Amino acid sequence: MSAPDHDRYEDSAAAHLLDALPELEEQAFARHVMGCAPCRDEVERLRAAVEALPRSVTPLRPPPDLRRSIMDAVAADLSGAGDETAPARPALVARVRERFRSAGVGPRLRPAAAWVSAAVLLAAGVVAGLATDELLGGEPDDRRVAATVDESRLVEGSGTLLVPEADDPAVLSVNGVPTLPDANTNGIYQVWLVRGDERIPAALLSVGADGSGAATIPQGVDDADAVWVTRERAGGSRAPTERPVMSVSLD
Amino acid sequence: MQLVQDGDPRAFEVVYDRHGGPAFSLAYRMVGNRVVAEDITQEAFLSIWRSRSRYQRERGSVRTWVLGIVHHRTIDALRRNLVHDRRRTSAEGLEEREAAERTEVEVVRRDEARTVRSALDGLPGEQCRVIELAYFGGFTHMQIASMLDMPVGTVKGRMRLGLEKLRRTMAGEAA
Repeated sequence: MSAPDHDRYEDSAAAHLLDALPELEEQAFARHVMGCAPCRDEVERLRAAVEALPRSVTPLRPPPDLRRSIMDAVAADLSGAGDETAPARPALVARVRERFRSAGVGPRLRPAAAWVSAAVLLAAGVVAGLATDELLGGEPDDRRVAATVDESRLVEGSGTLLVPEADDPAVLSVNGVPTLPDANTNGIYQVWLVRGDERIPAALLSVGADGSGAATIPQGVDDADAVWVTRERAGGSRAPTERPVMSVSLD
Repeated sequence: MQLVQDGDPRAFEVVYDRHGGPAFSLAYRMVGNRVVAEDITQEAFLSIWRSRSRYQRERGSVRTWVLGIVHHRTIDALRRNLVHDRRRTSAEGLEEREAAERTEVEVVRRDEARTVRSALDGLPGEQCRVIELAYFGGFTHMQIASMLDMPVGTVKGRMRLGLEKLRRTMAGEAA
């Protein structure tokens, strides 16, 4: 039996399974689904599709010392009468911050970008039953930069880089880009940050059968001179092995 | 898994040996940075160890459970903006670990990845894009709506349609 507010959450099951609901909306959906059989059924039906997604990833071998690090941590946990309820994440935060410091880079945990803040406000709007479309009016702090394409190799390709406020994830969207013969074994598009003479691996770009795709650059493009896309072997390369097929100048 | 739940670290090593590769691969696919992917994988496995008593076989395979925790941890890192300027430490690529000889398990996993990738590629582009931005990019539906200049309802609808089609495709292949 559906809950009285079922209409509001009818399309939320998929976003919930993809971890794509903002926190407040996720909490509201969790409360709703407990009393709504159709939504519970939808969650269970779509779960198999979401569980298949990580299996699409090119398998890579983790570094050998990761195994030792994990087992050392487990041993320490055992010897310290590990608290099963203690969250592990603060250790990650501390280590990431420590690596920032050791690299001479401040942690720079900046306030969220304007569009992230807007998302939070919008989440509150959803919970309050407001019309979210009215609140989405474009984000003035975002910048869209068109890519330059090597037309001899990407005949119909185009790309746009969405540049949010500094340090936040950037997103490269492409269209008209051919899929490589077999992205799992023979090649993949790799995204690079260019800073001076450095070429820094930034992301892998998946392209669908219709030639469109998108790659998230988690560390953002702040202080990068350009973003490049090249064709590389599965799993990515240490450095570009060809001239970029697509580039975005950030000068 | 019963031995792991009883607190046997050697049994946990076996869990890592079986699922550490897919876990690391997923984290790397999401953050595009080797060092951060290692950090996340380590924290995820420590979390798995600590929460081992909560695993319920009837709710899914160990692999699904492990990858779900890795995914949540990576989303958490992405949203908390921890994946920052790791550029100098990320310069090392992964090609050296793409060993010329592959184990039988690795071959099976590559075949599996190819199958699921093919099913994803079979989705309409706009459905595949919102699913990938959400699952691998860690973005909320509202952030995706803002990026792609489309209403939130459209994004959620495309997620739903895409997952439904993916489910049907995968079920058909398994039949």
